[in-house]
Amino acid sequence: MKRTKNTKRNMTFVGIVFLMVLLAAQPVNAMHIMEGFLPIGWAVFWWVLSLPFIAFGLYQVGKIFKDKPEQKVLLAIATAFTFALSAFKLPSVTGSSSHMTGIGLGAIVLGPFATVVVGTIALLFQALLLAHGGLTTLGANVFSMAIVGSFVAYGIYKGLSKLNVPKALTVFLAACIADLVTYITTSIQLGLAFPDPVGGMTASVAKFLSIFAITQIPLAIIEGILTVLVVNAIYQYKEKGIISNETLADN
Amino acid sequence: MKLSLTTKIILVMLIGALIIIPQIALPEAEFAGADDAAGTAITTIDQNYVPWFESLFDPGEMEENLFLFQQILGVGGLGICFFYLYKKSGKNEKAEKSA
Repeated sequence: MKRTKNTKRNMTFVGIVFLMVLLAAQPVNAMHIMEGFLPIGWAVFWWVLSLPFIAFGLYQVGKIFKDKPEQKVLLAIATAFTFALSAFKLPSVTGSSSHMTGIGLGAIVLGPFATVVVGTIALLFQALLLAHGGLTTLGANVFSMAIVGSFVAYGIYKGLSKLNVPKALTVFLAACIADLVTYITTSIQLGLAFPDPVGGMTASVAKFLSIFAITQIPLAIIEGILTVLVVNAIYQYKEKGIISNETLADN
Repeated sequence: MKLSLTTKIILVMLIGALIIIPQIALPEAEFAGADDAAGTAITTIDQNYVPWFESLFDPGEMEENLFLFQQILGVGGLGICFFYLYKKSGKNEKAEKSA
């Protein structure tokens, strides 16, 4: 009886938080590197770099469907989380607004490669339907969000788990830093493609960092907290044996 | 990992504060997208740059509705998944009791 009550509470909490985010969300426009805004050479470069990750990710997702069907629900949760978080545009301290990525959760519960696919699906959806991001810039956006984001989250999660850091803090840092690093990567990608005629690449990167990264700091913190709440809920089901998952180790 | 009720309440309030503070601190701000700012920055750095590819499909006026659609897919999907887990754990508990 008590366990059921806890589960209910968990669900209510996640619900309340999403309602809050929903109410605060601003009218939306885009956020990733926009369609056509990378010179063709760079667009191809990032596509080529991202494709092997997407391919191996698809193989991993196929393996989940075939060998670990009980993990399909985690795949669904990770995808829904990324869809939800990347659709809410939130105001930030810089007076601009931006959105979260939701990638950290997937990396924590599924590992980095399957999460590359999760992120790519969300980015493709936005590029095709919302004119948000783009097909030519998809390679670069997949690289910054789905690849760098999920590997950073996974690395931090695994690293801190070995160090006996409290689980909640580990999850928070993994998701929060992965979100930030995504936008740092975007700034570097834009700086590489558009070096400043006076200050060169460094000046350009600094300029884009001031646009993307600083806006992102409070949102990264929100993403970290949301991820902690969802992982906590998932973890209760793991404890009960409803979900089996080796990535979510005890601690 | 098990968060206490108090911790959860504090975390939820923190999220609320992080969302509300920028809007109170900057009442004049329009909160336009950071990517639009980046687009402007690109054209200041390289004035001759012309985007060489346009979105295949321009949602135009529908954009807000489509974003809402994505939000519904995401939040709804999460709801369905957790409801599924909740039901499944209920069934398991019943099975344990009767066994």
